[in-house]
Amino acid sequence: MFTDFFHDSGTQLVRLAYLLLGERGDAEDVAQDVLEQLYRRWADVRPDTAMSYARTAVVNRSRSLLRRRAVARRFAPRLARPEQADLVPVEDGWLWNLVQDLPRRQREVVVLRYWCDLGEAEIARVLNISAGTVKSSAHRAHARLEAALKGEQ
Amino acid sequence: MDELDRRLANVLTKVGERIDPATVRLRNPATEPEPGRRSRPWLVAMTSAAAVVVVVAGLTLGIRSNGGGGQPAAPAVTTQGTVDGAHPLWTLGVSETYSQTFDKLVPGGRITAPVPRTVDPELAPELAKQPTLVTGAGPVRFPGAAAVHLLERRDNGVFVAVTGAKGGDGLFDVDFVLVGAGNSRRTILHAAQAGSVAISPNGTMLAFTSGGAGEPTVKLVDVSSGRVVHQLAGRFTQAAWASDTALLLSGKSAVAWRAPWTGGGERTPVPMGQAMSVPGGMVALDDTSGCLFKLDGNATITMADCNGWKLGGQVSPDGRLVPLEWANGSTTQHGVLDLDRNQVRSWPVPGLNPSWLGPTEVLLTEDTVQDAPRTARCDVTAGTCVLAEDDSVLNGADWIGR
Repeated sequence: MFTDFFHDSGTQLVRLAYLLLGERGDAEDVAQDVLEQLYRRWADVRPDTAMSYARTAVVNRSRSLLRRRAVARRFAPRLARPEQADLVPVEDGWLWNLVQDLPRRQREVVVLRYWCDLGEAEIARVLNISAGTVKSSAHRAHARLEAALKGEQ
Repeated sequence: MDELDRRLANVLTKVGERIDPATVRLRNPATEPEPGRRSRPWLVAMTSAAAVVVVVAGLTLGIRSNGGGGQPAAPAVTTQGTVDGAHPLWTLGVSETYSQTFDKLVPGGRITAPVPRTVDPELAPELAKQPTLVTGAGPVRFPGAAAVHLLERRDNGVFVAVTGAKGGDGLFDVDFVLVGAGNSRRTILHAAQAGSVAISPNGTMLAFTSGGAGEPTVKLVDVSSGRVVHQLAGRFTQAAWASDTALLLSGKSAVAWRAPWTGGGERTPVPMGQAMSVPGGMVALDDTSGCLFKLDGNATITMADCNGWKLGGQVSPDGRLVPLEWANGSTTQHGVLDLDRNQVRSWPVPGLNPSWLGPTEVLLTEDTVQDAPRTARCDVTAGTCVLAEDDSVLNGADWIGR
């Protein structure tokens, strides 16, 4: 039943979009759009793949939104990302900020790996890239964050 | 798992948990269809592609005429600036369509407001310091304001909403300001909180939903005097304007106000979920019943046709073509209604929210969640579409419904 999926997964989709976008309003909009699309195709979607399908759609839509936002920010810096550091404990706030500043693909890989707890193969499917690219993106992100971690200590 | 892995998993979990399920506002499309979007139960009705627009000539439903003139009304589309500055105030500045979800603050209301920006890189750094609107006469700064939202451009100037210290992502503590020629500015009205905002095509009237702590109220404001000429409990989701008439829709009903803007407004006896200004009047749709209405400049219904219609996107730049979608057996058909002909042409490819490239040319993007949907460039007059992927030409249906 779509309604069961909606209740079970709606918040998770908002959270995923939020981790990719860093803005709650946008995250809710993305999740809502994905749920609309999914509902219209529900007859063609296998229940066991619905979450994977929705996750891919959230990533794609978040990516589109980030592109649009990048264009807007280039000319209107007042739209700069809202400060999020106060939303999490201080010792972790800087790390979240660093994750947000990662290049888009690295950030997607980090979120899918550490928050969605997906393996390389599944991440590759969601992002529509090769497993090798997932591995290299994860490695680069890890190295970048590790360097920052050492700098903090 | 090393130290970094552990901390990453921890911080992402904590950040994710900031989204409290109790506060997430998602609408279940299975139980609460969005106005303007098709819903599953709707996929039943029609039996053939011969979807016919039946003109019910002279059908009026008790809305009297006040004899107003037939001033052409601009289509209710989002303001789109041009780099070369088609508008005298915008030789430097352009606007970009950017979704601002003001419904975060006013449930049920939603508008799309363009964000002011400049194409002059020298001016860009200034935007970081304080909200700045760039016009052909130079930058207009709003020191102390949290943000400036470009609402609409009209012949009498640029309408902006200047939000104060409470700022946020919606219109709190807002001044509606008209920036006129030479960057003169005039505050039309102050509101503690505003939701949906609509400005008449001639720039003389402004409608908004006033929220705040109390019940939402629709206010109609005379721009020249800044006076609230009328108010009504409730909120509106869309507005359409024609001559001296404002038609405000709340999703379930519509109220028409006419100059001199007195009285309680006249409720239409039929539901209208969406409406748009078109030359000579308005077009309204009710998604629930699938009915399409044409209204004249006095908001009098002159045509009604119920054939399972849904609005399929924005009207064409000149307001003469209305994208529609409708059920055809188990599939959904997409097409366009020519208001002059009262006829419909269906597209050979599906595509919601077409982008208008010209008065009769449109870019369709396949309705899909995939990253690389098919696109097609279609000519309404010829009824043909050219697929971008291989340049193949597809023929749509002939005009139907005369």
